[in-house]
Amino acid sequence: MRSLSAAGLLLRRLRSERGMILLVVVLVAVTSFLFSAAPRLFNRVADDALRTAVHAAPVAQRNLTMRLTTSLQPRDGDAVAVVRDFGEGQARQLPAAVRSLILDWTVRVTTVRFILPKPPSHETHLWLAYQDGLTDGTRLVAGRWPVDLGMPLSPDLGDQGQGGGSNGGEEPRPEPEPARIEVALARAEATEIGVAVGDRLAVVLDRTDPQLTRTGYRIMPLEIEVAGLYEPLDPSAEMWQGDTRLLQVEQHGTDDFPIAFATAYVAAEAYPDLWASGLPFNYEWRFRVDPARFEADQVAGLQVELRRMGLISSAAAAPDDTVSIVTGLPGILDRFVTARAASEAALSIAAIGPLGLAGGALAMTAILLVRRRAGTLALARGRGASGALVLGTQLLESILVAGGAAVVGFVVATAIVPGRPSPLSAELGTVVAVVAIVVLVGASWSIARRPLGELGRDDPPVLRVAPRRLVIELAIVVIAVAATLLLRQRGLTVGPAGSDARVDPFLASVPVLSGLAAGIVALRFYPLPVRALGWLAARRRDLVPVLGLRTVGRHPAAANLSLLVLLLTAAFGAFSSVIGTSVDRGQVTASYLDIGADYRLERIGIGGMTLDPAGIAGVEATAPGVVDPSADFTSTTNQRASTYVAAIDPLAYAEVTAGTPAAPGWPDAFLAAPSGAGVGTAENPIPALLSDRLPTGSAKLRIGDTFEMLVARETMTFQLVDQRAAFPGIVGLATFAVVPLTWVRAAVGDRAMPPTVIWLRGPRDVGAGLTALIDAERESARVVSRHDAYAALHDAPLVAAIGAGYGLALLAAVIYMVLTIVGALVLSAAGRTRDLAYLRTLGVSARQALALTVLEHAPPVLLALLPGIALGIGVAILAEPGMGLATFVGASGVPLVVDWPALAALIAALLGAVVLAVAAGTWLARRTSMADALRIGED
Amino acid sequence: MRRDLRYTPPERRFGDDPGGTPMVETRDLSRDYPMPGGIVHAVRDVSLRVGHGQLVALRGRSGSGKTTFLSMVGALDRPTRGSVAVDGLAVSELPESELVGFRRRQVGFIFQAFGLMPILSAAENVEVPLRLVLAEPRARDRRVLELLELVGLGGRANHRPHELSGGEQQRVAIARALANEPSLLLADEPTGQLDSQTGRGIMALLHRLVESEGMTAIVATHDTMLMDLADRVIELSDGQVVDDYRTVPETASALAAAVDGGPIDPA
Repeated sequence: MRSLSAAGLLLRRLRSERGMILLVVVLVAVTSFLFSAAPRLFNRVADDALRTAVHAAPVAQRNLTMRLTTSLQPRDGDAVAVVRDFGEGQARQLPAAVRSLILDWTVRVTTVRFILPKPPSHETHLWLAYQDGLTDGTRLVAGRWPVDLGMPLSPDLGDQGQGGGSNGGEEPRPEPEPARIEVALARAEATEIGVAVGDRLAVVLDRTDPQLTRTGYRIMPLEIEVAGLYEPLDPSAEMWQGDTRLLQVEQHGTDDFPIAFATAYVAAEAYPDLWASGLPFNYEWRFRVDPARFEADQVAGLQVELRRMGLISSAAAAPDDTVSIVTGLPGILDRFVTARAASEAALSIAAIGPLGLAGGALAMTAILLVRRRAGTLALARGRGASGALVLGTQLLESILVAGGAAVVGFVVATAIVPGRPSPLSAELGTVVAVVAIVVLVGASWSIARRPLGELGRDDPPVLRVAPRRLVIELAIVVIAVAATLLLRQRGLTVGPAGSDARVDPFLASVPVLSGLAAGIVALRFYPLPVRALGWLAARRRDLVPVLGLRTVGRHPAAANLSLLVLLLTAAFGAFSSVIGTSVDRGQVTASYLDIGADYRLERIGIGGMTLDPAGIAGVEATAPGVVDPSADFTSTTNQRASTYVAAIDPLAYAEVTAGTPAAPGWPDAFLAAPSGAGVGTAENPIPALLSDRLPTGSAKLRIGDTFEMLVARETMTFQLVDQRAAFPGIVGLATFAVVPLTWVRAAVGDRAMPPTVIWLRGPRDVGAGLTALIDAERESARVVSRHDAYAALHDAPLVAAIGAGYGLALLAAVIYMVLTIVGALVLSAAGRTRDLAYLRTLGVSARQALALTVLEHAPPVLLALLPGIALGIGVAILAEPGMGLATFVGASGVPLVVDWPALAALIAALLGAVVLAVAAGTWLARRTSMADALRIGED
Repeated sequence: MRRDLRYTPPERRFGDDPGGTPMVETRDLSRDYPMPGGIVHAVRDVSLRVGHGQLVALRGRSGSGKTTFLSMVGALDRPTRGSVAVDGLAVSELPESELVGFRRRQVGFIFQAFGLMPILSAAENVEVPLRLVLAEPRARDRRVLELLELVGLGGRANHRPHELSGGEQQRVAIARALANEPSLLLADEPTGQLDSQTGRGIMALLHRLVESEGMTAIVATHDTMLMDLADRVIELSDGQVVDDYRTVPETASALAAAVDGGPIDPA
């Protein structure tokens, strides 16, 4: 009965204070919703990121390829059924976690390598291969698809050498009738090696094939007949697995002595004929994974299974007759885990900032609520209610109001926010509820514990701080400093690297903790200069400066909460701005350093390009270059090595990259025009720039020394003028050389030297024009776009999530800040209105009242904003090494960038919010007439 | 016997110097407040004249209109009808900008809740009006000390309000009200938050100040024991003057002296 009446009393009180209670409910529910929804959203982003990473990875890397070199005897009926059955058996042995990812699989069977003794064009090596689905992924452009001619390729059991050689002085045996296999070739291949439909070409075993070097296989004479030519419907289609061997010739050799490596397609039914030779085959079972089946929470298990499968990076490492599995999935997953850990770290900081500010807003609301109840609570104490009873009642009410609101927020988040469920949602929802309950009960603490005689008195302004409070504040400052140092040294994650690493919530809260510490320090010390100014102002005759400064300098400590929240918001905003800007600039820089310019047109295969993209609309500048990925390098000690050489037109490239991170900063020698006789000789060497790590055997090379390189088929002498750790556009190479194309051209004289690379400057929409130009000129070239490289970095789900997360967190922080400031103004509105009314009875004019308002608010706001901004920048500098931002940039480090205009905009926005809040409070104060204001609190 | 509540115009009752300018003159002064239940007539058609140098007690129960009347006389509120003139100045007609000067120099307010700035010391509170008239700093400091001495708080100049008793806070408020030597002092229940002994002391102080400084004071109070200190008592009921009479000057002075000197003998 008593509990029923207590509940009734509680409900009546809630009804009578429904405005404030509603505010608390909304605040807690929204905060709970935000923090319950965040893990679900992050799960969704993580899944998207994983799927995007898998999808974006090269097909050969993301899929699994099972390889076996052996000879599987065909069965009657389906010629390659035995190969399929073998693959089926192997697939069943895959771990369930891996098997569940597989969408489908195909078979490819490749012979050993043959060579054409009489190539129509130039030296040509040839494989014969069958691949599932090739006829579906191509269209026949000439002839027909090959069929089985029923001419088995028998092993040559006699002593006849390959290619019709002698048999040791005996009578030559009659040449047997050659076996014949029909093939189809990609039109590009046929063009390259000079064959057409209907051609019959003799082939022999290529003894340089590693599979043939150990065993003396012999086969009877073999001819291939070109039955048809095809073209791929989509050369980038997944069915090709990034393997273009059935689509185009692999060119080696030099311009003068090219060597072609081609693959011809044979019918599946021809497999028994080829198998009859006794030669080994390379069998491949290509398992296509479905990116949509990947889920981020399965990554850890998947990594374990893949490791357990004992993957090897290359099939070459597997002995014959051993099934090897090749996939790049472990690398993809490792990179994803690293990126996810960095995202979690960055987003944890983004989440903890608003959580702290939500606590501030909630505390202000709780103080308001308790202040309104102060009279009732004092009355209850006066009538015999103990402090514990008062606190108990508050606790019950808080559990009912805040706990209920937190549950509502959690349930709504679970119901409407898409994404996989996360146990973290419930944990964070509970944290919000507990914080809210503690804050609401804590706000009643002073009234519940204060001696009865002191109840009802206004809090006197505090000029001296209690030692206990000072000790607590000092402890917070010390902990914040220690945590900042820890964060800098250890990073945000704890535990072993990889998927087991977790974000340390203590270290993730460093920015908020630092903000709190800085706020405490600032709020403890800022009254000192203000009081000094007040002392100076006291010497003047007028009232406003001295009264304003005295008010600010002697403000009660309780009113500092709003300033602390403002400082934290400014710090969080500055931190977000610095991190966001730095990551973005880092991505821009990385994209420039990766591509070398806005665009790079590069030749596929050997030879130069005849393209002239300068006329395309939007192209602002072009710079030609000649690249040799493996030029012969000879040092002064006559040691030879191979290195990457880029001959670049220096002036043109400087124009292409002017004002960008790719600007080369050429040595002066590069900018000088070639002069004098014998350019490229020891007497007139060509200036050269080398990588910090010098090519093998040239460790003693110093600036000014000369060396030789084979460039454009001529050995030239170069002089080392500069060394760089990296050069734009040259990625992942330990050693490289950059030389001025103008000098190289002068050295080769009249010989044409078409570019193999053209760098361009131009906006994003130029790319389509470049692609169209390549198609129109039928040039074997490709466009590499920096804009695409930047977009790939910037739009990656985890990176985009950080941008969105920080944006939302800042918005939430500003809302909490405004709520806190408005709460503080409401809290002080009655007293302030009354004080102002008293002052006006003494003759303070409206203008003086306004000036007083400005003076009372401007110094604290500035003293909160400026240290807040400085703090945000400082924490970013301190925390950056531990945040792993390089993951989002694709580079080794992220130089921090402070975007001052953005910070100025942030300050203006925060000031605007504060001014609006203060203006609203002042308007409310002025709306009350003086006579009414003087009656406030007198009843 | 039922009292006649009809109001008699002041010139026919206390026509102090009928040809001269009274310190306060109200004519048909009314103030209405629109409320959800209808219009509340806080003050109704009050016409009276208060001469220079008088200590007038304004009595009446809570809600009788005392505070509203004082607010209109002090130009803190504007009448719905009628007019107020202070020393010949029609304050009810003045724009807000001109009222600032009136409040700074001609009128001093004393409130039941003291109205002190909690962050300022006693001396700093007293100097506020002096700063508003841009008093010369040395003269200002001298005046502050002089006023605090006058109210008996010379030794507590640097104490802040929460370090002072209620009576001391009210003395500081009185000192502040006197800072610019106003000709009119308006006090609204100045002893309302004080015990009776302290309250009597405050009233005696006001009486003494009126006599020594030559100012006019209108003091709203419902404490009947303190009526005898006033030169004149005006009683309000339901916003109307229902009684208006003079006390015997000798009695008031004797009472004031008695209060200053110690407890009043009820006999």
